[in-house]
Amino acid sequence: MMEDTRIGLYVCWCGTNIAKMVDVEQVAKELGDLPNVVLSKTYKYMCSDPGQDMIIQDIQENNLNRVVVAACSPRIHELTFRRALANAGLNPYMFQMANIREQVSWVHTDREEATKKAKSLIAGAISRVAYHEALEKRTVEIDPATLILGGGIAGMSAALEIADAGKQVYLVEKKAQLGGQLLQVDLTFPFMYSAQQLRQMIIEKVVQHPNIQVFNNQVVEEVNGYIGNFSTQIKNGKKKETELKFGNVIVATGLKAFDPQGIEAYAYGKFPNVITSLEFEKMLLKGKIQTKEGKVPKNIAIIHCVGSRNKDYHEYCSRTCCMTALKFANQLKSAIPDSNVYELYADMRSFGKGCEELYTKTSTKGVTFLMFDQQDKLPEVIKAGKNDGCEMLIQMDEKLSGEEVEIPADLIVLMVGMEAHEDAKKTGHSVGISLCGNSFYIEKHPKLDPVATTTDGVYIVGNCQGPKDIPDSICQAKAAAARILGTINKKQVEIEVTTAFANEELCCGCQTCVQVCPYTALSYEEEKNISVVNEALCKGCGTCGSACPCGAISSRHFTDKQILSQIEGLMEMILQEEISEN
Amino acid sequence: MRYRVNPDLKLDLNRFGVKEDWQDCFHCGNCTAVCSLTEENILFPRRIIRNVQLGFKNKLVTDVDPWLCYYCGECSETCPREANPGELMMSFRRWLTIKYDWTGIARLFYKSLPAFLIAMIVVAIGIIVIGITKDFKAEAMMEFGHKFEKYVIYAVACLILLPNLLRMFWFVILKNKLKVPVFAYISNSLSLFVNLFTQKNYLKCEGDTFRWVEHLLIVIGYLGLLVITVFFNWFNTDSETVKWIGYIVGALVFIFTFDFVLKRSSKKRESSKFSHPSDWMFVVWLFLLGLTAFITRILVDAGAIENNLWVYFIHLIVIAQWGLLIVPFGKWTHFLYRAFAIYFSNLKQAALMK
Amino acid sequence: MGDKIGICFYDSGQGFSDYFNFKELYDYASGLPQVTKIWNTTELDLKSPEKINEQIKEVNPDKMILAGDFPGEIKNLFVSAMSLAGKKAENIELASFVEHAYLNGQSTEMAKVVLLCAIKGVDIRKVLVPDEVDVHPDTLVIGGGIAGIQASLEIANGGQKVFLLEKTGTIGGHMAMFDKTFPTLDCAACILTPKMVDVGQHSNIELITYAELKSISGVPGDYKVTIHKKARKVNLATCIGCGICSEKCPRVAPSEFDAGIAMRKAIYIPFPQAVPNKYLVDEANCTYFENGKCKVCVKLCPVPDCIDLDEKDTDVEITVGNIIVASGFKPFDAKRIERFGYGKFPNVLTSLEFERLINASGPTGGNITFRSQDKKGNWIFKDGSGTPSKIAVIHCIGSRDENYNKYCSKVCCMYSLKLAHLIKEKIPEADVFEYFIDMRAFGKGYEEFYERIKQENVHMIRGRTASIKEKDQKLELRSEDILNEKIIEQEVDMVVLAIGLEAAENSNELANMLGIPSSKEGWYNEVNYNSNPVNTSTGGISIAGLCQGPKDIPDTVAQASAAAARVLQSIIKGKIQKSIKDIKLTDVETSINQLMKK
Repeated sequence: MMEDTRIGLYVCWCGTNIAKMVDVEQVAKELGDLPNVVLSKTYKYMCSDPGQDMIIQDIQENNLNRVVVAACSPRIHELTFRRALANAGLNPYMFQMANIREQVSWVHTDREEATKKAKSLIAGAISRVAYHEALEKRTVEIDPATLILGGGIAGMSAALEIADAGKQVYLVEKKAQLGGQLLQVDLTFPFMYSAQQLRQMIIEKVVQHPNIQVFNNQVVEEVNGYIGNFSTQIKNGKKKETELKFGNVIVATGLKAFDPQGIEAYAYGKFPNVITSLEFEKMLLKGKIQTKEGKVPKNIAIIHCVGSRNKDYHEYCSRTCCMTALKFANQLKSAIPDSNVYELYADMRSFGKGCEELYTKTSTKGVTFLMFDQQDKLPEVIKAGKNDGCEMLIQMDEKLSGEEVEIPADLIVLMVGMEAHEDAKKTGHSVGISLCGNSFYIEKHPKLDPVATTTDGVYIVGNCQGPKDIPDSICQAKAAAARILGTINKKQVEIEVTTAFANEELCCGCQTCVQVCPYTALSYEEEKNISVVNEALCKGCGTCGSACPCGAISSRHFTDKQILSQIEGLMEMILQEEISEN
Repeated sequence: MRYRVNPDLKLDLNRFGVKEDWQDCFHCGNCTAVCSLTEENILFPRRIIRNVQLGFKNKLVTDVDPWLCYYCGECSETCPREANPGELMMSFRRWLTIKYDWTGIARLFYKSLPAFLIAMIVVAIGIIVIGITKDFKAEAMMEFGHKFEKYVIYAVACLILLPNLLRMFWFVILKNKLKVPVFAYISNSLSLFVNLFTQKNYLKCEGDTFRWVEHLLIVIGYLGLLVITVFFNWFNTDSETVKWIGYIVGALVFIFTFDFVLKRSSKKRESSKFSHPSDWMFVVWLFLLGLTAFITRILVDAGAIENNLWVYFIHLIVIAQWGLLIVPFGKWTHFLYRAFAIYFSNLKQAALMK
Repeated sequence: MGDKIGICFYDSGQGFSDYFNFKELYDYASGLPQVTKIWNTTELDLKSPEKINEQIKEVNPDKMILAGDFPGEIKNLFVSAMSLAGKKAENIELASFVEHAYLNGQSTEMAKVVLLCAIKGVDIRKVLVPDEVDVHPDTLVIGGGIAGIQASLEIANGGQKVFLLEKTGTIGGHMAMFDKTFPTLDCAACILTPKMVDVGQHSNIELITYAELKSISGVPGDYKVTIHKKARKVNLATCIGCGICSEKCPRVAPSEFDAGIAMRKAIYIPFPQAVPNKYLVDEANCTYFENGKCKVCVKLCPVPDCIDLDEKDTDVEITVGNIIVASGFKPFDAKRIERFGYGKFPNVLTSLEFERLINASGPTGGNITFRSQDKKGNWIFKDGSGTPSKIAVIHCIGSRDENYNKYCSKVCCMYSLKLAHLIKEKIPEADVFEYFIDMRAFGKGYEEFYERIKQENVHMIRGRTASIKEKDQKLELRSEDILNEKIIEQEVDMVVLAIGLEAAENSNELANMLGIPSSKEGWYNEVNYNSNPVNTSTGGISIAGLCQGPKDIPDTVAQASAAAARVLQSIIKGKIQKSIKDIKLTDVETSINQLMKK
């Protein structure tokens, strides 16, 4: 080492979170004696402004060149402290965090043992930080064009938001027509506004927009590149291929309706007058509500949660069906005032703006609500007898009265839930994003980053992220647009620096790394028979390094030396403790 | 047993006074929980609302719970959907009244106010005709009046009230195929009479002691007046004791019914926000009954009855309308049905316990 | 052309006739060419399509315009009626006043525009396009909760300057008070504080805390905003946050951050991770402002002139091109429902109080204890005052209730389930009872979370609790267990009231100042519910988060970013649209004529 290693150690109380279970003062005092540690301090909240200011001041006054903070998980505050180092004029990577909250104080109940464990974790960090190297920030240029997959309301809204800022958008739609699910909707809930006016207006705007190029009937096979510099070829059947270059991608591929044929109790496909909500929407659009026989139905039953909230189909709630069902009931009562409308529901989820009010209004109109158990006892649709005066009967256990009941029905509407497209996985793979257990795309953070993904420059909006209604879809679309406009405005974006790098001399060209890389960051260069890392794509996950049989690949900031010294420091402390005990 | 959902019952019930507010009920259970009369197996009003919403006619007719309610109004006040469960209970009682009534006259009167008013007028004309035949002589009129009262009581009790109570018994106990232990019939009969005369269950309704006292005093006054006029011939008695008891009970009746009329007109309380014509008839006629009886006796005491016979004449018309129409077919029956409902409810519990 | 047009006016009776003068609109419509006949729904039999068909048959309009506050409600009725005369559904057009024309002021004028567009067959959104003007690149964000933080970061990360205005002494809003967040159970502070720190250190964000909007003038793209800065009495630049002042301060007051369940000093930091992490003086509770004496803090402060108790409020003026309103909500006041005994029984808590109680950084270190009195008689929570073994959570307090708020507050079901889980985590043997009406677990992973909580042996009772009574030091809840058909009188040690959300204090005042429409309840209205859920009818002003209506964190964050999108868009273009609400009927007539010529 060229210069002296001067380490500052900071142990955080985290209020009582850590201090309750770890003797922070003792830890700071004992570890302050380790070699290279120049000073050691404790503070109530290291992450607070005064805590950070203390570190900055110490760095400047004591010429510290490395810092260890023992506090919470690095996932939470590593960035905070790195920034503090940078503010003090130190390279932010000369820093190591020891997690003594999630890994110690929150999970242990013996204070003495916990303190010991904290000590060894911190000793590891101190030992490791000595081998840290300065890493420099890197940036890439942003191509101002954006690719949007899916021409539904979410995709179109995102396209308009970006295009209105004067930036190019490529909008790719699988089907022949833009509009997605909105094409089939007559009125929107809860205010009964016209969905068709909305659809016409927005499609017209998109099609006529000088900055939006629409590709109907086309699909994207594979997107290459990384944030700021993506490219792809879009295909129209087998005919033509267009090459596109763009800086960001928005996935707005939506969801599709659940097929109720699998639910025997509802006899969909068996009785012609059992229809899905989509088929009913079409009737409403046409303006003719009638049975297959062409009669005006007198008794209409609407069954909720078809394919949703049931482990046999989908465990999740499809979020919009309750409100759509209430909307149907209102439209039915409006179109056929003397009809009897029955809503068979499990929990009434009318939670949005104006939604509870619509529920009340629907009740006032005399719609009959019946509650069933959506998990264990679905209602059953049977053929009615001759004297029943209707075509079908629904038998169910009605939970609010505690009785077994039967409901006469001439028309039954199944509120089918939403599920992922069959090719969701394929589409996800083509842009480098993954699916959750329900086959929705996974966002970067479920709460604080609901539209970004783990792949920089790729965003998910609308239903493909999880079922939602029109305003929520549009919000997400615009949210993604905001992020993209932000990067376009800055013209460049910072990328990961803790990437992998390959030692050409050691590489044997086996391509194991190419196969295991989840971010397609590694490629094989035939000429030299070596693997090369595309550092713009690399996330520094380290998979390649551990798979490499010749030890040719290592990750910046996670070199063997750094990791081994951390282990050494940790073990040494344990050993010391044991010796002192015996 | 599987019930057929029948929303048409809703339309039927609307004619018994209640607005369709109860359609708004989303079954949070607040009304049942807020009611201090509900118990393990006595769950109302929500369960009744549910049965009404789904149109379970056969189930509803066997239900005695609405009679147990004294309409303190708390359920309606705290209902999150303003579904007025309390008022539904009242309307539902009217519905039950016509179900119990074997003659079908109650149904006619409850559904059609004109029919009821015509009947009232016919009765009044009848009395006038009788007046004419008696030449409007005080003595003859009062003698007739006294006999008339007696016969009406017997006739109404035997021909209308008793059969109706038997029908109620059939609906509640026999139709439900309840096996009531014989002993229960006897052991509960005492509470039947206590309830009939004291309405003591009212006291369970929190904070409503005054309303109970009012009810109790009216019952005492009304029954007292009945006994004193019919069996002690109050208008013609010379006994000072009878005379003064008569004055007291007569006053009780019109003073407290007057308070009821005021409350109904002010609509301040939840229980008096909605008034069906039958409610108005009941309180106003009871008030008139007490008042005219009271004045009649004063006139008798003052020796001025002959010149002011019209007062007694009005009393007679009121009595006739009361006895022939309101008692057998109007709201009066709730007094009887309620006590028996508690009795039957007890029998039901006994059967269920077994 | 030459089609016969019929118009039918409809008032749904939801009180919008105060905003739309139907009489005036009727007169306006009757003066327009092509309009053959105008009806009012009050003269038609809305119970029968057949009769309506009879009533409109003699005119036999080719196109029928349904005009009113919510005309969609009667659309299908007219579809049925007109199909009897062989007319198709496409012949019916909606002129939705509330959707397109609901402003606080000149709503009738805008409704005329809606009518005119419907008659001409032009989508109103195509003609309601305001002219563009130059935009000032700076942005004002009102409200430093998660919505304001997200919107500010979005714009600042896009390289543009943001002023973030916050009413209290710190940013963080309500989210900072929560313990865990549903359904992933991330610690709220752990995910929020990095963002707060980010805001505090961001070179593009100028944080203005302890300040409120005083007035606003100017036009979209160039707003002059006066901000009233309350005197913090502690110098933000020199305060080192040492805490001596607070330690020695003799006066206490209920801590806002701890929802009042613990005390703080009169000179205080709202919470340890506050941004900015500087002290402030609460004038209302400071001895100096009562009798001019004390000044202990000033005497002990190690930094000269850092604390200035005589500091006065100041006004500052800034110029911004765009404004994002993220002013949040206020929790429902549980005292309003007397029968739950909140404020009377010490161990009936609101959910917000419980969030603080169960929070590891709360006054008890996250231990669930009983409320007790301190020496001065304040009811507070402190560690070591016993552990409840039975806790009930009652949903829908003040929500879904005609007597209080009709609407559903959207988040209470889920946070109640979360609280149940947290109780079970802290006191595994505790009995937890959840009293609910409908379980609204609608978001991503929510239903799965609900199932998980059911597996944790939490008692789920479908039935609202009617009342709470105190009985032998315990609380007795009376409810109907609807699914099991019984009345339950449950004795518990502690009750958590899942209070709903209401529009922020003075939300209507702020709306008036900014000229944005709001609902009767005080929630701000977007320019179009479906197509434009973040912008308002006033140019350059967007809304984000709870001020628009109850919503959960992911939806709030998405909306906040969405609001930032329009801001960034306008800055990139250098142009911003003026206010939709200022467009005049005559302007619309001109643009329709232009469109027609095309």
